[in-house]
Parts: sequence; structure tokens; C-alpha cells
Amino acid sequence: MVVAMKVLGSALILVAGFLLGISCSSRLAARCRELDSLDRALLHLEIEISYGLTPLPRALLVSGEVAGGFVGRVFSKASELVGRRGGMVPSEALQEALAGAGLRALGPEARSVILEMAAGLGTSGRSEQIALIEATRQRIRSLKESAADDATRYGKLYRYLGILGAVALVLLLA
Amino acid sequence: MSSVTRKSFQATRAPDRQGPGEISAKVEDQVLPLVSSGIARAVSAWLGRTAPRRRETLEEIRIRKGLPLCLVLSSGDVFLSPAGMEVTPQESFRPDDSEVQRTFALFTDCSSYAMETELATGYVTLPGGHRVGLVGRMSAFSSEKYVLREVYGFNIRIARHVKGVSEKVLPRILTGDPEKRPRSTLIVSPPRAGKTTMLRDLSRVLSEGRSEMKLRPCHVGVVDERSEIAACYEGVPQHDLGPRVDVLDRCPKDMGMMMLIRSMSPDVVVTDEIGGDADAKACAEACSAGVAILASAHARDIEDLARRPYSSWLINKGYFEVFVVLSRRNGPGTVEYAGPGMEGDETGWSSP
Repeated sequence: MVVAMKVLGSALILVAGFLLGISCSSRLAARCRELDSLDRALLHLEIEISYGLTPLPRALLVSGEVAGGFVGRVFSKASELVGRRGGMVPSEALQEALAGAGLRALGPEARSVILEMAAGLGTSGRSEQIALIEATRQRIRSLKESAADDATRYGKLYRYLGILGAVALVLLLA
Repeated sequence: MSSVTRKSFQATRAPDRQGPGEISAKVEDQVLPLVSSGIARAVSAWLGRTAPRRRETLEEIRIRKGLPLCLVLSSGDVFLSPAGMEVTPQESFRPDDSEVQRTFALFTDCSSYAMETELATGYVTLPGGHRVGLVGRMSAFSSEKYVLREVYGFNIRIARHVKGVSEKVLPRILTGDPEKRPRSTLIVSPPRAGKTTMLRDLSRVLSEGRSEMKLRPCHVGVVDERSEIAACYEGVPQHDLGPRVDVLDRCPKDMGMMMLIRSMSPDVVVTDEIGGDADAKACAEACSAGVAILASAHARDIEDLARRPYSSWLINKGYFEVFVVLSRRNGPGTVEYAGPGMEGDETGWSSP
């Protein structure tokens, strides 16, 4: 009975370690996906502003729909809050939308890049807005490259560490 | 101009403007959500503590960075404290830069890039048709155009839709034929005397028709360059202009009048504030196309109007058959004159 309990406990530790490793690894992959999705949303925001002269609430909504996922939800929420309808300026609207959505895998750096952009969003002419969004996209692309590097370098490592850590713990307990 | 026929209409007070609480409700619902919280609190408190009759005379809210918050009533100006009390300018609430910038952001729907044309002309229109004049620092937009880059102050003019304001003027602008039709009419007044309100109500009445006056409903085309007559918001007119109205929103008058005539076959074209040679020529072209034009122009009276080259030319050629002169003598919308121009005067502006 004791042996059976030990085997069951060891199996549970191994599964937990494996899942922990997978979880850390998939968080890195998710960060890449979300940064990619943010880059796409910003590209569409730039297109809406530069070619359509679309008012910001609608431009955010359209960009959010294109991006989908977590970033899409943030942009859609911000579109409800910003401007005449929601009564908020872009920095407040995006801050509240991000706070409501939680940090998720996007990370604090990307969040601060979005908020820095939001401070200048909608307050100047078309060419200045395009320059602002383009500069933001460059910073996001740089974060995306670094996230992709991390995912390649540490993805497998986290998976191995998870399972090997669990094995080590089982051996120690045995 | 002594021979001008001024007896065709005596000065009259415009009819009662709106139901009780209409102006304060518009301000509360459509304007205050878009201004910064300090300004909104002061104005809302003033609306709450002021007698209904007095608060309905509110015409403008003037917000200037670092200067007293001012309400323009038909009886004069009042300055507000942060708690909405009427105080002296020295004691008044003075909005700071952050309040002005926040208000500007909300007025432009956080999209000043989409409003560069309006910012170059110095105004934006809010939902509900309230026109916001802007002042600030201009900078070059292109080699020919300037645009507001920094905004320091606003003048919010509260839009009024006064149904029935044109009742007394209407018979004057219709032909004497058994089957009445509108004649080309120019409404003249200084600013804030009710030109746009009169145009709006005439559009509605002509669009609806009046069987008792044998006036058949007309198809009315509105060239609303400043989005003030129909106050379209996302393509929907915010004012009731009747069932047969086609609106070209934010379209330059000279281009829009002929576009409407070619594409929508209107009986009447309505446009606001003729202000230059291009507008005058477009009016002339539209009149020559067999369409009645209802337009307005800034001037104290017809003599004042006749001093300007473009309007003098329009008057001389007799494109407008009827003139309506408004003033604020007995409040906005006081009709000083409504009728044809004189016959055989030295400028000949009633001759064909």
C-alpha cells in the first residue's frame, strides 16, 4: 500500500514538473504570438489613420478585430472607452483596457510601449500619427525578435528543467 | 438705400424657442460629457441652481486657458466659480492647460488627424450640431494652408432647433402663383442672430409642404459645409429637416451645390454663410439652373451686404428674389425685414 502511494506520488510529481516546464515554455511562445498580433494591430491602426482618416475609436475597433485574441480584446475595449462616446483620452482608455485584460504574456515592456504611444495618439496631424505608430511598431518588432530568441533558447530548456527537476525531487524523496 | 422697401415686414419677436429644459438637457447630455470635469461641474451646478427661464437663454460657453469661465446668455455674460456660482471675473474658475487639452481631445473625438480641414477653418461640430469655435496657435499645414496646432480656447455655441421660427417669413418667400413655390432667398444678419436656425426651419417646412398654403412638398438639398444646418453625426442628420432632405455634409459650397443639382434634382438648395467669390458664383449658377436657393450671409443689413464685391454682384444680378434681415433687437431671430429688394434703386439689385 505504501509502495503504491509512493509510486502514485512520484507519478504526480513527474506530471506536475512536466506541466510546469510546458507552461513556462508555452508562455514564451504566447508572448511571441501576442507581440506579433500587437504588431499587426498597429499596422492596421496606421492604415486606418493614414488612408481612411478613420476616427480613433473606430480605428481601434477595426484594428482589434483584425488582430484578434488578447490584443484584439484590449483594442476593442479601448475603442469603447475612448473619445466622445467613452469620455476618455487614449492614454486612459488603453491603460484601463490593459488593466482589465491583465498583463498576460505580453509583458510589462510591451505594455509600457503601448502606453507611451497612447499619450500621443490622436493629438496631432496624420503624418505625426504615422511617425508615432511606426516608431512604436519598431520597438514592438524589437521586443518580438528578443521574445523569439528567448522562445528558441529557453523553450526546450524549460521543458527539460520541468521534467528533470521533477525526477530529481522524486529521487530526493525516495 | 432710402428707397429700400422696408415696410413689407415689421420687426417681430421669434416665437418661443423650445420646451422647458430643452437647452439645459442638451448641454447636460451632449456638451458636458465632452469637457473636462472641472468645467463640467461648474456649468452643471449653474444649470442646477439657475431658474429654468434664465438657463434656457444660454447661448454660448466660452472656455479660455487661464481666463475666467464665461457663459453667454441672451441678457449678457456671466462668470462661474468652480461651484457654479455667478461671480466676478476675478473670482471666476480658470481652466488650466490640462483641462483645455483634455476638452480639445474629446471635442475632436481624439482624432485631430481626421479633422485637419476643420481645424484649418477654426471650428469643429459636436454631436447635436453644437459648433465649437477654436483659437490657438496656427502653423503651416502646407504652402497655402494653416492649421491649429495648439488650442487655447473654445466658444461652444449651443445649437437650437426652433420649430416654427420661419412661420412668419414663409409666406414672404413663396411665389404668388396659385401653386406656391419657394423663391431664392438670402437671409442676412450679424453673427448669433438666428440665420442657421431660420434656414433649418425653412428646410423642414419646405420639405414637409403646407397644404393650407398650397405649398407642395419640395425635395430639399442641403450643402452643409460646416455641418451646422443638419448637424450630421456619422451620416445621420441630428436636426429634423423634414422627410425630403438630402444632405451633402462638410462639402464645400461651390462644389456641393452643382453636385446636388446634377445628382439629386432638388427643388430647393439650402446652404449657409456665403462668403466669397466662389460661393457667389456657385449660387448664381444654381439659380440659373432653375433651382431656388436658400442661403445666408453675414451682414448687418442689405446695405452692408451690398458693400461687399461678391454679394453686391449677386444682388445686382438679381439672383436672390427675397431678402430676410434678422437681428437680436428683441432676442435672436428678430425679423427686421422680409420681402423683395427695392425696385429701380441705384444698385439695381432686384432687377434681373
